[in-house]
Amino acid sequence: MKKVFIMLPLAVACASQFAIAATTDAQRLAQLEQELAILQEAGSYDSLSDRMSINGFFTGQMGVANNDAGYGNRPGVEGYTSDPNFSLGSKLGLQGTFALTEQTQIVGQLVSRGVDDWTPEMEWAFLSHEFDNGFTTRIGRLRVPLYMYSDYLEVGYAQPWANPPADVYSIVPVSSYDGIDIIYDTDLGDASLSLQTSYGHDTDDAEHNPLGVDVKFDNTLGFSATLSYEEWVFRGTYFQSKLKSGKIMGGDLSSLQSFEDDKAQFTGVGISYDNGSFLAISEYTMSKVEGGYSDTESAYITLGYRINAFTPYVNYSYLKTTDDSDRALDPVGSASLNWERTTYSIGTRYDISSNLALKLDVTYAGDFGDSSGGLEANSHHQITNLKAGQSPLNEFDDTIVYTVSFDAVF
Amino acid sequence: MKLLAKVALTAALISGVAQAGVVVIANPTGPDSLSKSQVSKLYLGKSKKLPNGAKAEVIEQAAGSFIRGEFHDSVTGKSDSQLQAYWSRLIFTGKGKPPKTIGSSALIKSQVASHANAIAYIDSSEVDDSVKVVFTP
Repeated sequence: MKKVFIMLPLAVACASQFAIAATTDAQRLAQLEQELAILQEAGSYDSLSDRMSINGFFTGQMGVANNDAGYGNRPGVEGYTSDPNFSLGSKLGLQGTFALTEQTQIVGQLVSRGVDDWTPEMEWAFLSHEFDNGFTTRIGRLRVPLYMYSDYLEVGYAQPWANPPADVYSIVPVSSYDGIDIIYDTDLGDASLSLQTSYGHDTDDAEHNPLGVDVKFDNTLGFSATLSYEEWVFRGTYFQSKLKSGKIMGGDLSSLQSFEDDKAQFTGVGISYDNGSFLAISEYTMSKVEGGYSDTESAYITLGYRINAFTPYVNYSYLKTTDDSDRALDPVGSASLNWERTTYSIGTRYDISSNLALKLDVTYAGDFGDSSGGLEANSHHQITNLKAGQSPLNEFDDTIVYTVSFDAVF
Repeated sequence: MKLLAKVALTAALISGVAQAGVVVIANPTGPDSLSKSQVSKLYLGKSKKLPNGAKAEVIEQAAGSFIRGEFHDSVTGKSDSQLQAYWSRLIFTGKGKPPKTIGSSALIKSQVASHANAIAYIDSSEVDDSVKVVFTP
């Protein structure tokens, strides 16, 4: 009996609740619809998350060689030796993109490199505006678009290799500049064409170069054209600049004196094919510098094949100087500025997850001929021999570099 | 009779499975049809506009989902890792950002139903009158 008395008021209360709900259903629905409309409005373009995005990339890399030849950096600067090196290839990048309007944005990218004690440097910092007619212009700090992979030079995750082929990618010492560019994108039937012209200035800092002095790259002017058609990409580029420096202090390079408005030119062509499983990339480059500094020719070809999460690859590349005859009477200059080498790499990329890849690479470099192979240890050894009145022999005939790299984007 | 019923049922199931698949959808006021190349370009950010010139609002399914794999397999030909590498090339050069991701087909459908320039893909079994199919891979 007691239970019924308790249950009865409860049932009444519930029933009355339902009654109230029923009478206001239409109102509540209208209210919900309104709330939904507000939420959808908030979810449209103007929300902060759509206007601003933060992205990052990271490479943690270890490289070690079978000897102290020091391959893997720009010619004349020490690369990998028999001491395992965790700094040379490791880096962290953070990028902020802020949309001012739908067509105008600001992009800033900070990169900290292990080799610079992780001191952050601004690699990109630009304002870009996209016009309706296919033109985009950018002003600020930009990448020098010399190579096919220049734009994402440091985003290891976006590359098939542990490192871009050094014979080609280490030739030009500047990778960013302060200036302006204009890009024109257009569709040619099923193909798309992108034309870019760039103008600006940059400095190759003494702390990074073998010359011991800042080298200014003034009035850098360049053009590049990229044609993409289905699985193919074709690219051509030309850049020129005027080099200026104070007295060159680098011990083995002091015979160069200085750069006095010397014209430097760079020409490159590239082709790539990627059908989702088979991958082929090749680039050929030439550089010329007025005066005593090395003129070069270099190229590489990479072939890869994706098998599920694995992308094994092989690479062949070479680098040689083309103005050795200018230094025929200068044995010290020849020892430091004549370069010749052939490089073979075999490696694989393994996609651990959709934003983390592991890469393993073995690179052999040899065939230096009479040159130092662009290796500082060899040129220094040759010069030491010369000064002792002996013939300029190399200390190392070849080198093997082993690299393990973890590349992530987030 | 029982056997016949079983055979019929199995056949129906098989044909049902064969018919169900990913379809590209748009708002009922949107484009009537898109080609594979148009869909691929929209999903890779190579074109940003619909055939009528309006800015497309492209919607992706969640990374790692079965339907996303199925869609990209047949339209862009890229795996999740390849897509990530592809977008990182555009993101870190300030050239573009990947489409907005929505993790549920029901939400995607309601978004397409309420946005004139939205493009998305869902399983054909989930299509109703609120959206229209513009491409079937």
